[in-house]
Amino acid sequence: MPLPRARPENGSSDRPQRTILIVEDVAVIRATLAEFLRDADYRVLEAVNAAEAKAVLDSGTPVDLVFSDVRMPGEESGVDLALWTRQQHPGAAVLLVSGFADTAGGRALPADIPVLRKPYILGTVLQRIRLLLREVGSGTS
Amino acid sequence: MPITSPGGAAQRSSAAILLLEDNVLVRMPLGEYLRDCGYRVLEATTFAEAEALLRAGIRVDLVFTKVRLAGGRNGFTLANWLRRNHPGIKVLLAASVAHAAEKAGDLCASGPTPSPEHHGTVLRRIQQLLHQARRTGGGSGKDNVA
Repeated sequence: MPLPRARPENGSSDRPQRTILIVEDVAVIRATLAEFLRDADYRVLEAVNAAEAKAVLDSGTPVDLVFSDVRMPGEESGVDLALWTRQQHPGAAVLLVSGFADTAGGRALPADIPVLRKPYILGTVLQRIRLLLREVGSGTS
Repeated sequence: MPITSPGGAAQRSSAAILLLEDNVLVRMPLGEYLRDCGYRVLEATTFAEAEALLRAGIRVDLVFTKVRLAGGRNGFTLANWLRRNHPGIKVLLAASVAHAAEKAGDLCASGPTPSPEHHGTVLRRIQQLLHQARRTGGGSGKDNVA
């Protein structure tokens, strides 16, 4: 299966490289997203669940955006992770992915957390991420 | 299956490494180091994930993992499974995290892009991350580096 490619952003060499942390427990989805975003010139870190994501964020590794599914194995949902990230690592933007039937454990999605609805195409992921990272500004945490 | 891009753009020819490591504080620095040397690195945390990636047909040239893995599994079992089901894929087993850093150094020495970083630097970074995590109460604490 060929992994889809993205084109690097124009002028990407003029800007510091941004770091995206992908939180996704389905390996093939995670690998596809990661390679796509690496091809778009992002530094991409991978986590399979909230615990790994928190370990990465707490390690001091600078992360500009956390891209997480709402559904996650274990007790914590992507919403829990998003709220935790907002509190502990406010410099990181958050983008959640949600399916129509996802309830995040019965928890309503807070209105102010950016959400990408499934099904999505990779181009849309890139668009949303670019938008969020520009809004965050210089990316200082 | 080689990786091709739509529209006929240049084919990526860098070797693809599947890094199987269940501790993210070890996996992250190792993966980044290998990518800096020009490898495509796929990440897996369990046998099942590694198998899923391979079954999906994603190109993998080498599986890199430790002998001792989570859940009592060991890398030899995976190596045998690979030899039977994916004979074209090389396997590299490391006895410990320190050994894995050393092996990563070897891979980088013969990698697509020579890395200026010595594997000792990567090992120190891993040790720092693990130590810090243990200190703050986070991390699994199950990795001995040496």
